[in-house]
Amino acid sequence: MVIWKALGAALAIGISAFATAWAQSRIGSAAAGAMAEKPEIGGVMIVLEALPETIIILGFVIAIMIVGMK
Amino acid sequence: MPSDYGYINARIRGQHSRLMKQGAYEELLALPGFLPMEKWMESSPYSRQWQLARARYQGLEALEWSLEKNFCQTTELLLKIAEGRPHHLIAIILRRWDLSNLIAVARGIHGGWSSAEILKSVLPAGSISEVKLQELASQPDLAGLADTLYTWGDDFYQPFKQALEEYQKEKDLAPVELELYKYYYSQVFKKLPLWGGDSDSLKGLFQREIDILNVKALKRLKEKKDLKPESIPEYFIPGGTLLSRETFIRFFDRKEGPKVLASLKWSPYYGYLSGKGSDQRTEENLEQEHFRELSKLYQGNPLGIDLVLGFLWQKYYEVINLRLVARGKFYGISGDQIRDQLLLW
Repeated sequence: MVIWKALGAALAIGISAFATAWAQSRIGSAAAGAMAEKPEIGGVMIVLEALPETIIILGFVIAIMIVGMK
Repeated sequence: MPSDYGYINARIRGQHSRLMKQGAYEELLALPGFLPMEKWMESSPYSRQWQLARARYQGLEALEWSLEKNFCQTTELLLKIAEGRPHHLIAIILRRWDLSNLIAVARGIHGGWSSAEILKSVLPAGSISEVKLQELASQPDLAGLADTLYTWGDDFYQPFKQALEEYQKEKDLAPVELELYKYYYSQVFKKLPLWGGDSDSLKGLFQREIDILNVKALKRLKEKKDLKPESIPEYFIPGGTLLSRETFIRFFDRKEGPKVLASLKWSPYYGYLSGKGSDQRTEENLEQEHFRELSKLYQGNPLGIDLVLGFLWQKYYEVINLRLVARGKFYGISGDQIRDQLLLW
């Protein structure tokens, strides 16, 4: 049972980390392009770049819930 | 430099936001003359090139130079911001300006124009630079033009070489131009499969262009009284979707011709082909419709080459529209008359 829990938690963290990385890479390149044309939008771009972090936070929460299950 | 469309298309969107809106044209058309238009240039997205132009030229010449320079710098930027697959696709698209420049230079040399006059009709937005075009325009004949291209290792040397013998016999430029078109499109269709699904939009674009060229050839050849039947297949450009070589030839057959025409009833070219006489306005309409289709690509796949294509044509026609407005203002033509000539999407 402990092994399955650990595996579930690892998958929750791992998959959400990959999803975050993928989303941030796409947003990052588009943000770089947009800022090259309009440097004044830098602030908005930082916020947009940080948004996918919520995916891994949710993954982390789910991993804790799995580990804490009885 | 990234090769992904996220970066490229974000930059294109930034560039696109600087294009003129419909209302801005109305403001320009309402200007009382050429001088206010010069003032408008100072605060427009063309201001940097306008400052440069004023150091070299004056009046209308300065304005036209700055518009063209701006467009050429935009095409340079497109190549600079892309690498890998998008870079190659953009290079294929920009090569068309080389094609039209070479045709313009060949026409100028054939017509005995001075190199300065020839250079007024070229737009160095492709891979053949302004300096190289100057060199080409100063050649005494088409053989010299072909030799210069060969020296530079430019592959457009081949169609010139192929058509040169016929040109020297008849002193007719049509075979040279046809050979250039055929060569360009054959190269395009050789290269496009290398770029997979990305190149689908481009393929459609080129196929439609070939269709238009073939339809125009049908119409013009039909009007030609001294047309030799054996020369008909030479006018056909392969690669389109509308006509096959056989259909193209059958169009000139007395019995088969009406059947071929009837089979094209569904197409947008039917009205043009079935009308009598050469109609400049209808030909322009065909090209305008093609341009509108291209412009719409800007709304296409945000992670593909569509955005680049749509933007490129919108930018190109903005430059053409502004040149029309400038000429109109310079020669005192009314705003309404200029508006009729503008191509908006």
